Amino acid sequence: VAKPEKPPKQLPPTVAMVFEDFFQRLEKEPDFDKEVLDRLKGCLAEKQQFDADSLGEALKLPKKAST
Amino acid sequence: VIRIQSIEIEEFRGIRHLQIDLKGENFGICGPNGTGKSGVVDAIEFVLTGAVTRLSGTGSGDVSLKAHGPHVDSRDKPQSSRVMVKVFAPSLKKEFAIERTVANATNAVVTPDEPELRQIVEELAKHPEFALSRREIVKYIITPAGKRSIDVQTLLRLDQIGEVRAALQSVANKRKREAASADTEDSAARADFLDHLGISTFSEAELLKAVNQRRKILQAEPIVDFKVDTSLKAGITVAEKIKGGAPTVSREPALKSIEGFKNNCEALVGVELAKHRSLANGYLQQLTSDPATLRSFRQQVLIEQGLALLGEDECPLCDTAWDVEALREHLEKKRNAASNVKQLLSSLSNSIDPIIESYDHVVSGAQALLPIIKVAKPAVDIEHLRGFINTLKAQRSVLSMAKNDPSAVDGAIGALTDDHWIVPGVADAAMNSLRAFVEGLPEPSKEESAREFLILAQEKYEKCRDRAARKEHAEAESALAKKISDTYGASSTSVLESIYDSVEEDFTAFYRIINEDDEKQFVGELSTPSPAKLALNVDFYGRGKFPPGAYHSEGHQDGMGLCLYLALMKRTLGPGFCFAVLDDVLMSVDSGHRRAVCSLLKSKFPETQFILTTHDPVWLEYMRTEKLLEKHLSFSGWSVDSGPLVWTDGNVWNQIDELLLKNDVSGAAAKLRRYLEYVGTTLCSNFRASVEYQSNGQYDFGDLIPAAFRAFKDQLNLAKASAKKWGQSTVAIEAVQTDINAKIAKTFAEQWAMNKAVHFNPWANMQSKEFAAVAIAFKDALSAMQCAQPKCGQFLRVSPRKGAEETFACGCGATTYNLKLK
Repeated sequence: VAKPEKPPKQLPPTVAMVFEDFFQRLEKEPDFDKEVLDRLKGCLAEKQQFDADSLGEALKLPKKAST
Repeated sequence: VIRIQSIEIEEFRGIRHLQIDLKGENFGICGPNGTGKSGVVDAIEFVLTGAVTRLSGTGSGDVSLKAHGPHVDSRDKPQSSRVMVKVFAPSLKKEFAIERTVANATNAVVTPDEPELRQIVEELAKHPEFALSRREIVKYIITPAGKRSIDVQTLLRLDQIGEVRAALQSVANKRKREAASADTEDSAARADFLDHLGISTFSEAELLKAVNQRRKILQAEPIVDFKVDTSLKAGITVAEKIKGGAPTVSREPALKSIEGFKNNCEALVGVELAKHRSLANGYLQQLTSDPATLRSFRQQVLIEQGLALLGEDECPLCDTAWDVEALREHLEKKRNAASNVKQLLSSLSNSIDPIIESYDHVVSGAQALLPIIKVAKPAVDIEHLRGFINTLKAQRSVLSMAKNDPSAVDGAIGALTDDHWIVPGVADAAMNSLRAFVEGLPEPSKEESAREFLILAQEKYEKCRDRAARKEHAEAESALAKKISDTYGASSTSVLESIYDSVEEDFTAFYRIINEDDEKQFVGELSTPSPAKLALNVDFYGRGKFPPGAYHSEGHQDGMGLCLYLALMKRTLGPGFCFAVLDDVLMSVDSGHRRAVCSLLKSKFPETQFILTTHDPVWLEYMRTEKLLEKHLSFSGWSVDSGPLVWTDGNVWNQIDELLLKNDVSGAAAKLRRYLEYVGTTLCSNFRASVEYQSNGQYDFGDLIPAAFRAFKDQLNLAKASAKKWGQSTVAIEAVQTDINAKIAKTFAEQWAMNKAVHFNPWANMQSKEFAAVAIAFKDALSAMQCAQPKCGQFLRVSPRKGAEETFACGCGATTYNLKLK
């Protein structure tokens, strides 16, 4: 049986404040990709993964066919 | 979080055993350098965090807590190296103990072991910044903006903000590089396609013209409407080509390729390249024959690599922000400094490049032969030719590396002195066979040429589309990563600026308190010129804002360091900032501002317990006078066997009594002498005594005590003269004079000034009873110079410290003499 994931540690208030402001700014961006935003929230606020590899993964876009 | 009630240190650093009773109040530790003050600070840091900053991190070398935390005589018994504090947690209203041994530093023993108390201990371990030395405090002041940003963010627990910013910047940089690479590939594919079509710029009309020309030859329908998915070879199949059995290589171009390859191979053995080989070999020999030149070569290579990576605002390895221009200037200066090596490397490159270029021609020429080799009949054995080409490729790589890699120099010398560039005879024979095959080929028909053109055009067109799609995708990801990085930068800057604004406000207010006499208009300014930087500029007497180290003195910088630290701690911990250890942090604050520092700590941080160490007894006296602290310890010396020699002036007389009870006159005499030397500095300062100046700063009690006693009498005389001038009674003053004169006389102290040679030390030869009388005499004399109020008990002090004397009084004001003569 897989171990249940540990709940994330509480972020320091100022860090949480920066994340909140950051997400709000992106939400206000017209046509901003909601999936990217959700992945970023998951990475930063939920999983608290702050490394370039994880964030780079969250910022990947789906590949389109040749035009 | 906590207040320290008491601390017990055993076999830790330079301390054998020491117990300090702080009772949760401010506490001072005073003693000359090397008497163990910082050992107490280390012990507090150790018991609260499990680590000692001085024994870890930059500059600690091979020193470690485990190996060097215990007292040197207990270095093999880390379990006996122990620190225990009893603390009070105001938030829980609970008292508890924390204990650690060096043997098990990471696990604190908490008594009673309750979760909420353990949580406090865990929280404390995350805050080593409560203990601060001068070196650490100044780092917030005298530091580049990029480093300050990191230090301050660490202190404010904001490191994760910077961590995410660096990671997003790193992603954006990577995506930018990927987009640039995709753009290059797209351009190359496009150029190749245009080249094949024989047109210089892309236009639909030109493309269709070139394609339909070939289609007409093959009697295929012309393409009139070009769309993205249009096939240029529609109606032309590969199968048809095979069925026709026509050769896939054209005779003339193939002969041209073979001729070109041969010429390139002949150039390898020509005079021109032989000259370049000889020169290159000479330069490489120069590099290897002189170790200094070779070392300089290595440095040059590193500098060149560094310069090549300077495009970004941060280090590509650790993402630390740097000032690109300053770093570039520094590296260029270093590079230019080694001009000899630079010249040598330039000459080496000039001689190796033509060799490499000729190898490249041969290799690319061989590539062009592959389609011919593939269809040659009879088949040509190209094993030796392939071996020759592979050798050229390998040696090309060695030669190329030698221009930038000192480790490739020896290999390059080998590559210049063997004869690998001569085409083996069997390979030459294979080329002749190939030529014979091509010469026997019929010329391809117009139809075959047209078919080949269209098939290839379609391949190149598809490659163009693929590269364009990749470029578009890479640019979209790059734009997204940049937007995210910029947006995060804006968010973090906005939030951090609001934090820095409040820190800046407090910093300015605190500094004004310390320097209200001459910098009432002082303004400190924290700004973020970029997300990774935190600039600090301070006003300098209304002349503008400058970095703190520009014009302010060291003492002022120390004061700024303390103020910024306090402002940051207030922002970080708020009401939780209830404990701090300041280890000699204000050593260069001048006397005029010391009282103000005490006042700042007392008035702005009344709930914070400060433990302050200083090597200056006068400083300690200020802290006591200003009521910043009451309790203190004085360290008079240190020995490896006993650790710090400690007393409080409250019990020195008891200690002397105890020694005399043991008939230890020598010990009692040494203690009294040390105490008098300690208290003498305070008295001379308080009474404004004239002491013969010693350039080494060393004063013994023969220098201090008689001068202090004389000054005390002088001040009483002045008080008496003042009383007379003001028409007041002098009876009380005269009574004090009579009393003090008698008491001073009993000490025989004044004789030492006349005959200093005798003071080392006739007491040691006395009997206990005789020495007890001496000790009592000094105790009485000193008591007569203190306020009689038990709660005050301070030595009287002349005020102000410079200029015309105004008062001679204790801290509480119960004993006050007017010194003004109208």
